[in-house]
Amino acid sequence: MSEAPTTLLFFGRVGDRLGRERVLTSLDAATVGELRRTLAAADPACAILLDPTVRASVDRQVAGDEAPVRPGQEIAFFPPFSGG
Amino acid sequence: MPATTRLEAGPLFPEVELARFLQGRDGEGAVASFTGLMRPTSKAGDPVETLELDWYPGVTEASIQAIAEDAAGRFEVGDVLVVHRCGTIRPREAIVFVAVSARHRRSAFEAADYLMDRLKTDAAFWKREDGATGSAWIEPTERDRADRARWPNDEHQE
Repeated sequence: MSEAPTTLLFFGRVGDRLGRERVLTSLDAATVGELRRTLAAADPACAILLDPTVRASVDRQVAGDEAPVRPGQEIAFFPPFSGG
Repeated sequence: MPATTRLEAGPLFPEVELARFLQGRDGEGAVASFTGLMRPTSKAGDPVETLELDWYPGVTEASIQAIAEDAAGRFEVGDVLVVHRCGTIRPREAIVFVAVSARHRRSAFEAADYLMDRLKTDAAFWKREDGATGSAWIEPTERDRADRARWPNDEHQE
């Protein structure tokens, strides 16, 4: 039984670096912080996710590094809003 | 509908928005509006060919709606309208249009002023200036933050 794919979204300068979207067929992390570290370990470009100013949301709710993540969720990473 | 907001990927025509907003009036004495246009130069003075306003579909719309509803609840106003562009914008094009109706002008002016200060810092956008000299992501300026701080006691203030 395969797990539900997890969608990663990247915005602003993070999106410039990593592209808009990646889909993980296997989520090897239990929290947002773990996900940042797992991604950075697997892909040097993802080191940008370790930047403490890069924020995250889980299913469109702003989430700290301790927030739990589950397969099938939509997890976004982005710099602080620039405003319009 | 006291607070109406729209995210617009295509062009924004402030005169059309204002005409439509005025048609909806019924006895109020004041309408204040503001149009923000794209500047053709960066803060450093370099020419900017395009402004890229990156947005998170769903989240950006919700952030604009929340700001408009805060304005509607904070001031004695009738209707609040915000139309904001997203995507690629060219110099001199309209980026944002806000309009507020009220019984009296002071509330309309204040609500429009508040809307713009909030939109310039709290709206869920990421903007990049692209030109011949390169690309740069822009963050709120100290001036933007100082303008935002004129309106304390908001849930959304960071």
